[in-house]
Amino acid sequence: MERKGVNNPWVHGVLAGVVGLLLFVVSLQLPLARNAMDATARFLYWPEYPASALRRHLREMYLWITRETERQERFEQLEGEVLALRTVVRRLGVTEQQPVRGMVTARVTLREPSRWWQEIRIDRGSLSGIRVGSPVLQNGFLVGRVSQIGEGYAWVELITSSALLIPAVLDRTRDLGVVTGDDAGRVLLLYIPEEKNLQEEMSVSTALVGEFLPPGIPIGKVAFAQEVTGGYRPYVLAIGGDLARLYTVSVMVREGLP
Amino acid sequence: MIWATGMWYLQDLLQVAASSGVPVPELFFLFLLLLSVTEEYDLCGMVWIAFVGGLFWDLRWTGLPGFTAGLYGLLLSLVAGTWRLIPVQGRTSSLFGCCALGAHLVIGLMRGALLLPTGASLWPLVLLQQLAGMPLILLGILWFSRREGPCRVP
Repeated sequence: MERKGVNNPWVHGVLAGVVGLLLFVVSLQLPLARNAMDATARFLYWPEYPASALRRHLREMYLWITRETERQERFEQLEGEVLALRTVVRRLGVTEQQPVRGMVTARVTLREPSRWWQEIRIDRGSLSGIRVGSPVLQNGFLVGRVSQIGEGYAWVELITSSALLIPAVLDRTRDLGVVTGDDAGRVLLLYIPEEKNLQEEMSVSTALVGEFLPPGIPIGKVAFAQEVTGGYRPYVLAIGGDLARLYTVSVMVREGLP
Repeated sequence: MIWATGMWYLQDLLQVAASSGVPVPELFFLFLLLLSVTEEYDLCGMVWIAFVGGLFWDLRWTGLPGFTAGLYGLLLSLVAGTWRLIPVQGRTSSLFGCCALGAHLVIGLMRGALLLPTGASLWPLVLLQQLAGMPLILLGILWFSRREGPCRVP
């Protein structure tokens, strides 16, 4: 009788159910269950690795396909827009502007946050004719000067850097001064005698006395005056370039220089 | 035992590969059920193998140790025990299919019911699990029908 009970699958089934239920209730109270789960997951990490890798790759492939499809759709849409705009431009009789000779257009590839107002890196270098000292412009205004050069890249010292000193002239009065930055986004015109009372909106450009920079490159306008120090009054300039949106720049190369 | 471990591992791999939250077919349980109805193995031992497999499944996936373990053990003994009470002539492949389908559905519903308080819409997932389990059950039926007639009685 006893042996029959031991071999009865019903008894074993009920016993398994009861043990399972007890475990279920007890595990809700014990932190040991969590440890056991963690240990199981750790134990199965490598055996499960092929499936997890497969899942990851499938997911990445799916995302890639989705992204590419979206990109293709966007590209086709933009292509259509460009064609439509070209038609409009042609109808209006606007002639396409040819790139200025002696100017190289470059994209900004790096602008480190720690040296935000000091320097940028561009994607053109000596192979494009750029040299150390070449002036860098944005929308026709001076924004910096090439300080270091590679074959396919160049570093540009920005006009807001205190390391850059640019001889400048006031276009109206022909007063000379030096333009420099304060490393914090402001550009100052220095060494203007106290008695010279400069007006706001007076334009400033590079002076003939510069060693590297050609004269006459627009820099910006006088914004406001500061306190007199040592007999000279510094002026804060509103520069013409927009350093907050510095994505592409033009570099004046050798044949464009005097 | 080795085959049962292999089936558990296969089910585990399927669960890893599937999106999180999608229940995979109960491959391990269906395999044990198939072995149990052939009567070539000791049913009591199978019940405890099912229990251990279920316990590991709980530790790995459900996070409720004992739930799947108890469910597997109880259900296997119930289905396979009832199967053995049926006269040999009546043990057909279609009946096996019904038993497997019913047991699979019960496990799916229990999983769904357990997670009902979370408010998640789990019933479509349960349905998906049942549909995914269909080919396996059909394979089981096929294998069962290819055996020489009805199951032998020891």
